[in-house]
Amino acid sequence: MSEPVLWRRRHLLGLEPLTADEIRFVLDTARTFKEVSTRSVKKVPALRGKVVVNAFFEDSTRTRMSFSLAAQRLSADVIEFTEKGSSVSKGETLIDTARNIQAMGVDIMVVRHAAAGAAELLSRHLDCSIINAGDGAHEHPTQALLDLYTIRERFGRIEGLKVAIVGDIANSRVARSEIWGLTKLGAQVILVGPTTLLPRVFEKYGCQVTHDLDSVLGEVDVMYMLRVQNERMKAAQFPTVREFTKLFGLTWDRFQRCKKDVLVMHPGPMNRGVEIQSDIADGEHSAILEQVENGLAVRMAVLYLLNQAGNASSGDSTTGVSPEKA
Amino acid sequence: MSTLLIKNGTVIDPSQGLQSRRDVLIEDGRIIRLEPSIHQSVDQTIDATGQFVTPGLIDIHVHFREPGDEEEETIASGSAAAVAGGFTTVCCMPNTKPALDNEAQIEFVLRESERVGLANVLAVGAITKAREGKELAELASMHQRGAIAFSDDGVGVNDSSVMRRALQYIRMFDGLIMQHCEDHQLSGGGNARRGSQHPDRDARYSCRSRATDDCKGHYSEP
Repeated sequence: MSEPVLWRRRHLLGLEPLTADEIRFVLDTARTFKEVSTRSVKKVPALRGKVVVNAFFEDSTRTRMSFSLAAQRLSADVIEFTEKGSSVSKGETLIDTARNIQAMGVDIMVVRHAAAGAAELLSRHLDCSIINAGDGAHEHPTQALLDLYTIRERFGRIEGLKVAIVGDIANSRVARSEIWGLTKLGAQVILVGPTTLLPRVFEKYGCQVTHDLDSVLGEVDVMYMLRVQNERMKAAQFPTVREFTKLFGLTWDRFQRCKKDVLVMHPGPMNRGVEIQSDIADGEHSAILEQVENGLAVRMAVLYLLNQAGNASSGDSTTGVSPEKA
Repeated sequence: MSTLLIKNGTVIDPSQGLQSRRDVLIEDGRIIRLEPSIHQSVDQTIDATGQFVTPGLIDIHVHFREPGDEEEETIASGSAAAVAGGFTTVCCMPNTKPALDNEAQIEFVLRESERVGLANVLAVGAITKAREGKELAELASMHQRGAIAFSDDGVGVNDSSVMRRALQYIRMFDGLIMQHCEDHQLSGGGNARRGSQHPDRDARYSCRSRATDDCKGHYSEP
């Protein structure tokens, strides 16, 4: 196991605050954990005696299961919180809910919430480590880390690659974390989407912004397709699914104009036939299931590193739980 | 080579700041001379005494009522009226029945215009589906099919956020919006002088929201 000298953070709130070295260090650590999943006994004792809670105030399939399994493979005890059926409906505030969960003896809290900044807020009011598993349209750092891992594994590098992120950029926390991660590691990011879902402000982040997917097909190494959020159409952000697919869908015709070794990615859940044609999603250029597989290793690495940092800062592997303080 | 001379007309050409009596000599469809007096033997001469000679006029706002109200106007009858009045290019508003709110409807207008073969009939697509002001119509698809601009003519887009999205969306292909500028919450039934002592004027303004024919009898420009 690598020595976590490069990592001193107790929280993972986003990729924006991280340095390129820190990101690379997480990816390197994840590589050692990927091997654990190939063993017949898929478990290591790194977090034995620790408690990880999944505090999900918003729906999730992949992320929550991935964090659960990652924590279990590190031998932590895992508890699950979902907003549905909880006392949130009785008017309990986010901070109160989180403090009460923490009072049960939690070391790491994985938080997903519809409000941007929710994870950061909790990091200021709680003593346990906080992992942002998606806050509004702000960040989804572990998604970006697993994507970076996947790209690096396929190409052997990230620097110098051209990555197109296509679709609803404005409302996407995945896109924002990808932008931070990719640009910090030296990739060139091209954002593609309709003007209603891709404001020019994104040029400020060092990205190329275009509304013409066909014009960039031949030059990109990675086509990262975002999910079309059908609910956005009701808010008049684009006319129809048909027109979206016509302008921004990865169709067979467009795919054939891509580079021969193009890598196709999607964070899920995907709308087959809308942003991505089915046989491309299932084809050999697609890394969609690899992304999920790598997510497990990346989340194990993140849990491991935050736990190590927590131990180092408290000087005691059992503290970090004090709901009265904060 | 065929030649045509238009004599004694008043030539109006804003592009040259011109409004004077001129003769116009046309050779194979191209204007080659524009002078106070041209004497030359030609294939055909038109005497335009007392008439205006202008570049083909363009009406950016016409209602040809097709499809849906063909008893009022059709693309054929409207085109004939247009060229009779000197209008060689017209832009059809989309408040037909159904509205010109998808590429098939745009295609229909353009094909029908081509079949008629009189004026250049251009199509303005609807901004929102069925001109209801709620959801954006397929603006990019209509643009690709040849719609030259977008309007919900007959009604304004009253929802500011829909209007904002429309303006943002068409920026993608440098499109044009022609807004019907009317706030329906304010305009109500359209009476400019509600309760006025001048029944003639009232009738004039209030009946404009009905078929114009109804008030033609008692309506003359002041």
